[in-house]
Amino acid sequence: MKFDRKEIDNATTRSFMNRTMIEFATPITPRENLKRAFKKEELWMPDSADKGWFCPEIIPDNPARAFVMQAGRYEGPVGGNDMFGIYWEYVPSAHGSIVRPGNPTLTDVTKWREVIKFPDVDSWDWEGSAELNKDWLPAQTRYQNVCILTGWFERLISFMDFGPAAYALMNRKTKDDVKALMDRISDLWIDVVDHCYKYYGRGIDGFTIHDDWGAQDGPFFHERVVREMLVPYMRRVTDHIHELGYTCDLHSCGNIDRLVPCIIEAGWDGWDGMAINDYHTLFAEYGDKLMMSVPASDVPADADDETQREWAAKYVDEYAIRDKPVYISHYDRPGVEFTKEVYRLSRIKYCGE
Amino acid sequence: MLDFDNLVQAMGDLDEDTMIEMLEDVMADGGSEAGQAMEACQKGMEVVGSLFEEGEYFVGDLIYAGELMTQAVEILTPALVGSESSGPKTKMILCTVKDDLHDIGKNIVRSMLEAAGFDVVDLGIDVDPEKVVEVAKEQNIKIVALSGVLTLALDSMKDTIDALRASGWDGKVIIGGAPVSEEAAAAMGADEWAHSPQKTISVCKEWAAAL
Repeated sequence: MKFDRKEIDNATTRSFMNRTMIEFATPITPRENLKRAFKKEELWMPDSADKGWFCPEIIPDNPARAFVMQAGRYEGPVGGNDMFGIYWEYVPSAHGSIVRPGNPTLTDVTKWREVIKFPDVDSWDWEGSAELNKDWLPAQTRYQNVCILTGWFERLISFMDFGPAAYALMNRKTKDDVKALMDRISDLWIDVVDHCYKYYGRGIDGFTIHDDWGAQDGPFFHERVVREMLVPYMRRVTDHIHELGYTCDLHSCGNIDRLVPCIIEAGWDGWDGMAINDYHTLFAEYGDKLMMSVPASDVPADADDETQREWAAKYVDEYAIRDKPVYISHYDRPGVEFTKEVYRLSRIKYCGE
Repeated sequence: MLDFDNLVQAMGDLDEDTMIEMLEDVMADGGSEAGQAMEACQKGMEVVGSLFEEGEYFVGDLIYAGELMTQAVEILTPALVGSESSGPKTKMILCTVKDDLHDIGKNIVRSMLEAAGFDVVDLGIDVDPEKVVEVAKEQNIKIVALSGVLTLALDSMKDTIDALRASGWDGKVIIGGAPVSEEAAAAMGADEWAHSPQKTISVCKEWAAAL
């Protein structure tokens, strides 16, 4: 499928996260292209916006965290109790929810078996959700990943607050209890994945699970801690997702370059990371093992059209490598001309003109 | 006599078992060397802070060190009460500003400030400017540290500083957190700004010395 200039000439635009996104007249859907990218057979460089987050309202975390994305417009309440009965307070100015710290549900991690009530996943209205989305999901031209918004460490934070959660994770005396809790959380995610498989089937393409591991100035933990306390439990879930024929991405914020080997060991296919990471080095070293969202951070913010095209050529030269697929990150996107030129050049690079 | 360098090292290494064992040894005679032990723990915290700045330690390590320091204080306090080491400390206010519910950075800074010898009045999160003014004036506190994570926290920081100045309060304010910068500090009239706990401690120590 060689590149045809009409793919750009006949493009339309849409708005995504306050940016103008271009819908090219592609020979296959972005969804199909992303499926191919996971097999390293993409026709052009996929865009991070080619991946949609499917967040059905039946999973209590989604309305609680104000992240409902499904067929139709959700107009129900946001904020409220998550699947564990933990209350998330919606903060309008942040367009998101947070567990107000200071009064955690779990104060002694060794007591989690008595204090934490795991949800009955069967009790959620899966049949109703499957019915609601049965036409919508397959009709989407974007890859559909079910989101699990609060993964392992983040879940521990929601139970305990950040400081005590971090201490519990690192404390030799409580490590075994934390490991047992992480394992039980993995059982839960496997249960959720199985229900998604049963009710949404091939209407979905994969899963994105969120677990933030760092802040702007670096990771929360040394990789030794992450390897011991988180990676094995993630791996159980990612292996299970793969067995069902789905892909899985980790959404993990922070400056966490040095934890990328842990992400790979945990079995993730892709990683939604922040622009602050050093993607030049990460791509060179791990690009064949992990599909990253690579921003165009080097491009001057005020670049004119010609400059954008020049940077697009550099970007494609560095990152459009057949065996090392990446997402074009939605962070630090220079402008429409950059996007058009990356599409054009990567199409030609992969398929000819 | 205890080798206090080893205690500094145990704290710096986050070696909880060794540290607790040494502190219990200190307390075996009623705590005649408790003051020196506390100073050693504080030096150990400085080591932790330096290792964090160098990228050897992480946020989790700072939190862990804070927990160790809390334990050290609990063990040594019975011997320190009434001693020279328990003399007056500089009091300061710390809080996360109005409409911001984040407490991670604030709590790390609090534990390190306490380890550095400050009496921290932690007003918590989502704190009204009026509350900061009220406590600062009532308790005659001259140092205020305002924390925030959201970009919108900058507005609340400015509101808090404006309220403090309007009340006639004449102390120093440092702002901290992801969205702060030199420009933001200048624009809102903050005396200092910091992204790291170390800078916050260093600035507050300077201010405390000048009080």
